[in-house]
Amino acid sequence: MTKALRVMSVEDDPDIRMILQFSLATVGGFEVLLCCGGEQALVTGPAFKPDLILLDVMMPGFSGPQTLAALRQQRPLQRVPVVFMTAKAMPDEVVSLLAFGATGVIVKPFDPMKLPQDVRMFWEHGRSNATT
Amino acid sequence: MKAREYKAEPLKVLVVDNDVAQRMVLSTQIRELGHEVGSVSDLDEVRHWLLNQRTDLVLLDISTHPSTQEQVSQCIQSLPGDRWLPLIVTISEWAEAPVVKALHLGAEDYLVRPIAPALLCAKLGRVARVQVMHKLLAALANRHRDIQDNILDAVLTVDEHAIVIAANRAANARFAADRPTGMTSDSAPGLASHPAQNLVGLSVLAVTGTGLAILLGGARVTLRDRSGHMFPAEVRASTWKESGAIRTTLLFHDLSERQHTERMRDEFLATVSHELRTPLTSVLGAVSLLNAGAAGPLSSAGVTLTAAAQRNGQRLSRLIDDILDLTKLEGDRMVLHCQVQALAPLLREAVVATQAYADANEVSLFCTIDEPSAFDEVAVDADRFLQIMANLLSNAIKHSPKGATVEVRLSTGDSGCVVTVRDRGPGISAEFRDRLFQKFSQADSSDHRNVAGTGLGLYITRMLVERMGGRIDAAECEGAGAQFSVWLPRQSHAKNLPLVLLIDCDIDARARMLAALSGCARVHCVGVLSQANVSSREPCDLVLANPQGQGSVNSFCKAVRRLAGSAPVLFVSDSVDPVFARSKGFAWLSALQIDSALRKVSMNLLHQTGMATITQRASSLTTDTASQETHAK
Repeated sequence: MTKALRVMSVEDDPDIRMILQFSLATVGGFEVLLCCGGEQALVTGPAFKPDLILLDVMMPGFSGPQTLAALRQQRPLQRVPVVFMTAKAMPDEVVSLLAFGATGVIVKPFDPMKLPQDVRMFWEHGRSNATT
Repeated sequence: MKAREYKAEPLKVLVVDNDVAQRMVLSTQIRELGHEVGSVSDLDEVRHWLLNQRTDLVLLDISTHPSTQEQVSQCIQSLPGDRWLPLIVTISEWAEAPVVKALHLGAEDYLVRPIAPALLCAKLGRVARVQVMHKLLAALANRHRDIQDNILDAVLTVDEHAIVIAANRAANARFAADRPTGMTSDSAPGLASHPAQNLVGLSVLAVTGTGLAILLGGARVTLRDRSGHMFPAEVRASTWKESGAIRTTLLFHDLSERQHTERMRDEFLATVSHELRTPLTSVLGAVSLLNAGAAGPLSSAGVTLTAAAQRNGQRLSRLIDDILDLTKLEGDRMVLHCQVQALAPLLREAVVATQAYADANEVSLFCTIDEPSAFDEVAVDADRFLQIMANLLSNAIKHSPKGATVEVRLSTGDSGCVVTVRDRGPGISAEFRDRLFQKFSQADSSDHRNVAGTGLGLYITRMLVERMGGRIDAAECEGAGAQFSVWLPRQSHAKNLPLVLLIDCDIDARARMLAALSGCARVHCVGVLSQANVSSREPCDLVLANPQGQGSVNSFCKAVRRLAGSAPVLFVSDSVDPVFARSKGFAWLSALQIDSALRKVSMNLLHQTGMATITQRASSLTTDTASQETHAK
């Protein structure tokens, strides 16, 4: 039996958080920690020990890239693959988001039925990158 | 025009004579003719008089002075230079030499004493009439100048050698560099007419940073102002003739503000699109989960309803994508990552990606890849090529009747690859064909139309194809369906070819340069330098650049040299001249020569750098192409 992935998702929109909960937990069978902003992720993230972090880009307070930079300062989260979720994605914006050190970018609106598949793919990609 | 048509006014005459009696006689004669008179005895007083009294005519006696030349010269020097003030010399008895000398030196006429009243009357009358004409001409010139000076846009008139022969106040303020810092024409009114301030006599290239050829050719140009700041401008040119010589009047309208507004609009639209996508994520997500039974099983009516919600949510999502693409493309802010690659695998991928949509519409997709074209390589952005194909294929499927087949074919065309998409739908009516690739164009825009769409898809498709140096056409297939063809320039044997980095913000110029180098180089095209993605593993072999629109020319030159490394750089531009390009160590070619000489010049530059392998390959290819061109002729 495959081990359930632990996914931390940082998203400020409560409705999208609910969709993420359904998608990742109910459909994907992952263990999920939902955070409503960068600050909460920084506080609760290290103890949760996620396998992958989903990070919204435009959030009040800490933006996605700012949260990523802060998460990287925390030893348990230094090597965890981070995937940005953005509603503003254009190819050049994807390139600049990847340049922040993200493993991938998921464009909103996303299909919650397919999201778990994408998350697993990015996790495997991140893991193979970490080992090479 | 007859002189008598001008109503002459009384003249203000100054009599200069050191003989008091003669002075009085002449003054009386003049006064009797109805003119006003003043008199002085020597030249020193003339200057003082002219400074304080408005004068129309000077009568200077040269009878007693030992040197006519000195006397007349001095007198003429004291006359004001800004208007016509004639000098008539008087002499007590006829002597040819001094009179001729005086006329040569600039005297208007002469009178011999004793002066017959009728002759004096005629000569003064003539001066008065000419004076009126001069005043009319001056008023006309002033009105002309006032009109020019009150135009807020810079206006320059140049001769056939591109030398400025007239500049309005706005042009002087914008381009003249010699005004002392902090001093404006308002604080120093006299300065506006100061020679150092005037652009007259300078070349239009030195003044605006842009050559005449490009000013005549391009409606939108980038100019340099006096502080070296580059600004976008729209130029309107009109050419006319003056005494047989060609004159060109150029009007420059600053576009900075308009572009700022356009940028604000783009940013607003992009933000709005983002704000629309966020709630759509929840709507589509919830519907998708419901539809998939993630929240428990749905009744069949529930499935039908959520499917309708999902379908329409996706439609809304595509519309938002289109609007975002549109704002990026129209603002020339979309970055394309073009890489040389074979088109065949991309085409297969596009067909596979559209298969589900075709199945849902009960339409078959049939893809043919002609044998020679399977290996042809083109420089395309893979994602955007897939978007182009998705637009064309979904369009073809949407307009096809159930059970029909949409045919896709990749073939080798005129120095490029051609992808055709053929459907069996109603075709394109003749009146719609002209508007087909325009924004918001719909063949059937009625409220009860059968096929949904925003009318943005084909417009975006055309813009994307053109940004990749290609073109798109729709063939006449009315009654038997429609056929769309996308042509993209081929880059054959690409991996063995030299890599050329092409930097030009003008889309049309990029397309022309790409076409000129087709088959003899791999070309990495970018609009601005910052978009250039040059890998250190494979440095470019040649850089073609147009500094127009790239900010400060000097910074651009430095950045280009850094990027090019030891590779040669060719400026293809009329915004800088060959001397400047050479001073930076770059080669130069006029933009007017892209079609005729770019290919040859580029190959020569690659030869000169001593890159043996590249030049060998390039020369064999040039020979191949030359023979092909001969065949073509």
